[in-house]
Amino acid sequence: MVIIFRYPPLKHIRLHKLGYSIFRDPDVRERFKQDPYKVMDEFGLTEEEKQLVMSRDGVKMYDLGIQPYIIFALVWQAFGDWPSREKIKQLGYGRSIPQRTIER
Amino acid sequence: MARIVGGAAGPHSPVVYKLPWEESGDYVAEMEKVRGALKEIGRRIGESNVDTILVFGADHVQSFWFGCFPQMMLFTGEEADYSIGGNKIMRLKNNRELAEELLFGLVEEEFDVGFSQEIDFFDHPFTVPLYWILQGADNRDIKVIPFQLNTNVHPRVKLQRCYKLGQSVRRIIENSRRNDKVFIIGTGGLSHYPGTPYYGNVDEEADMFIVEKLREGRVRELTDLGYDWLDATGNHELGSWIAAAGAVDVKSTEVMTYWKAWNNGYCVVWFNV
Repeated sequence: MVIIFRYPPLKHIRLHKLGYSIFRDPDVRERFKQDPYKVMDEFGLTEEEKQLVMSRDGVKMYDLGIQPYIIFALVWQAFGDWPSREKIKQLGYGRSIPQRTIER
Repeated sequence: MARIVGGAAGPHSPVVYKLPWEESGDYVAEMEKVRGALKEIGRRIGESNVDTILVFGADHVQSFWFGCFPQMMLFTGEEADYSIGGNKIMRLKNNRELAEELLFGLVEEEFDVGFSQEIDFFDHPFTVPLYWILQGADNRDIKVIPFQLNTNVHPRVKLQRCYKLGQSVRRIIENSRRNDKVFIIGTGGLSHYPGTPYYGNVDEEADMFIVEKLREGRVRELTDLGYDWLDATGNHELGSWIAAAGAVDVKSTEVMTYWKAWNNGYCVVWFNV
């Protein structure tokens, strides 16, 4: 059983809150663009979490359990980058979808 | 007596509102067909003198946070802002009186729905289809009841429950002494994998399976699908469609458009009553 849009693990609450705030709050978003480490300190991120955010690697974030909709904020809204068709390939998306059966 | 005069479903991707990147002429033309189908829904709504649209949509952790994330929530305030990517697009009046009837009625029917009388905004799951539909309806003074139905953060509302929710909504509206003419919309889908490593895939075979069931009016057969299958096929947002189909008591479905883009199976349907 594959659940993709999964329950957010509590251990990621600081990261999730940062992503939510970057989406919701223009002030946080602008300040993040100016000085990301200062904002990440405000949200209490660990060094490991800071590295993950700065990697801009949405695939890695997903594999570590970050909620997919927060990944949008942490990768694309935080850094102003929207993944076009060409970028998708460069960034390592397009992974083969999970097995499923269609019973007609 | 209030009544449901019809229903429809369609995508809510922000891309349907505005392309954030350069695309080919073919892509742009296909996207125009999707927008055109949504506007056609609006045109038909206008002809039917609909005064209220009830929208089943699923928040994307934009209106709500994990501090309190509702499975089901009815908006019972007077009016609300509608945004895309957090940017305000429009402000729409709610049919507060009917929303309150629905809230009390649903709890009576053992759907323990939460309510909100004040909210910062509803984002693209509500705004995008409404933007085009209301244009098609010549932006008449149609009131909108937004209904948050969680299909995006696990654990989620099961499809059987979504269908029964729609049926309850229908019963409550039909038993109301109000005179509202209500149209129901389900938003989202079809196959896509936003924010995941699977992004860039579209499970067209699964989409066609769903579309054929809808076309033949065999909606109940879809309600056995679980979130493992729905996630695997990128159809995690189907619950909003099922709730709308349940409310309409759909007999068959007109597929207004289906387009397999590189990142989304875009489909707009009209539920025949």
